[in-house]
Amino acid sequence: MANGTKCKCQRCTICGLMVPAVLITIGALFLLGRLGWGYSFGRWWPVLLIVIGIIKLAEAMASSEGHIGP
Amino acid sequence: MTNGRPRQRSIFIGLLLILLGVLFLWHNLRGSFVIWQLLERWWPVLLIVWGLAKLYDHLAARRTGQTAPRTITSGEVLLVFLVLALAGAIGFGDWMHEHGGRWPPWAQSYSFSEEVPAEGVPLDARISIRTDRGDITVRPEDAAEVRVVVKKTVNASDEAEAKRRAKQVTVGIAENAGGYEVETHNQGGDVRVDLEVHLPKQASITARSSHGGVQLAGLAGSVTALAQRGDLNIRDVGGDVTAELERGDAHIVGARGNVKLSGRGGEVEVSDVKGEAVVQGEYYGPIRIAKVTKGARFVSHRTDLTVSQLSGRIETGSGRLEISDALGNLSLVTRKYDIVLDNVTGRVSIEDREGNIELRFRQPPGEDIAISDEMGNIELLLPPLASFEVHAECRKGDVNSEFNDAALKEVEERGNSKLDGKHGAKGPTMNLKTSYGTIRLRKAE
Repeated sequence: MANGTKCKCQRCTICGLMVPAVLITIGALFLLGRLGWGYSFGRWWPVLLIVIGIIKLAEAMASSEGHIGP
Repeated sequence: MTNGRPRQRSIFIGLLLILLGVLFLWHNLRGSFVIWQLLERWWPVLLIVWGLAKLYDHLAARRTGQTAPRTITSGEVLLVFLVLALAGAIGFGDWMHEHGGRWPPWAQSYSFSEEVPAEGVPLDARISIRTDRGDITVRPEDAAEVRVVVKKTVNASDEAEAKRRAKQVTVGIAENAGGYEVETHNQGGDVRVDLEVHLPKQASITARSSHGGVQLAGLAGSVTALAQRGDLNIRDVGGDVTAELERGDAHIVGARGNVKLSGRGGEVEVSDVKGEAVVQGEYYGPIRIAKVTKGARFVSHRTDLTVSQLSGRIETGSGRLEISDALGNLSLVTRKYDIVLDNVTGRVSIEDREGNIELRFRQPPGEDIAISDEMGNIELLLPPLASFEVHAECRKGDVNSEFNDAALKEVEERGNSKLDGKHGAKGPTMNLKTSYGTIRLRKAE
């Protein structure tokens, strides 16, 4: 929602982290899978849920002081 | 800025996602619990978490002077449905896996059999057998060699793929630290490897299957068996049996040594044991322990039972615990079990809560009896010629005795009853205590 706008409030900053964090996590999980240490995405995918959860939580708890936009 | 500050966001979604992530991760890594069973028991926790999250939202909003988030947002409803669907899919996958079904549905099941060439071993070798998924069957023979018949089962979309995956898994016999190992290598989660191991009769074995059972009959040595998600079926063993169960049933019948079973599971049967039998853990039951020469012990979070000699049997199931023909001493601490003792001749000590206790004597008791119960009845069925000294005390209840002796004194005051005294010549002491129930001493016909 803060995409493109210039809101600098804490919450929008954290919100903006969501997409990169999800991409990095998925990338890392698949990469570890490719390296093959008896490790597989099929087992570790819930890490993704945890990462999204942490960011959602941080977002909800962050202050929206100085929020611009809707 | 449109209308001052935006609405506060709820912390519930974040909390829920973290909780579920941990839950699913645990499920995937440990793989030893069913997500549905967990949800069935713990779902109210979700409501509590929801409530606490809302409370936090409300307080946080008050502190910062913002509007609290709506009680239920459409996003949350969607999320809850998504979670249910996910848990359902995983539960279904587990169920299919468990019941040997094919998953995904378009996969076909292919089986390949092969034989690992025989390897000479000493007659009394120590042999360990392991498969990650599949059953282990042990066939004791008179030859001094180990031979393995391997059956691999793969679910795949075509035969070439199935062959390729089956080929990656190998089974080998290796010598290791004075013993021998029959092991599967490179077994992924989706290749089932059933092992039929032919080995010398005098051998001692350790068999482990992470997703499967262990079957064995007629081995002269000792046995250690570990079955996770499978049944244990062990018969006629010459030595000790140590078994661990994770889910499934255990039948251990006939052992010359001691038997020890621990873990969790369903049905348990342990019988014809020349040594001592110990059953430890949580089982849905029924549990049956019979004919144990050197005494039996059953320990769970609810019960601690020791019988020093058991020619009869111990049986539990659906809130009832029955012990018959125990010639030694018996000590039992439990709760919420209705207890029936039939023909127990040694010293008896019982502690129970919220259960009725019945003791039937075939012959006059020769040893002391101590029973303490709460919220339950105690009934003793004694031969008319029995002699004993009794101290019975019932808080908020009655004491009834069919033995009417001048030396037996019954007192009742303010709803509490007592019976003290002697019957017949010198006999053992019976201390009986309960509350909110009735103590009865009855004469057997």
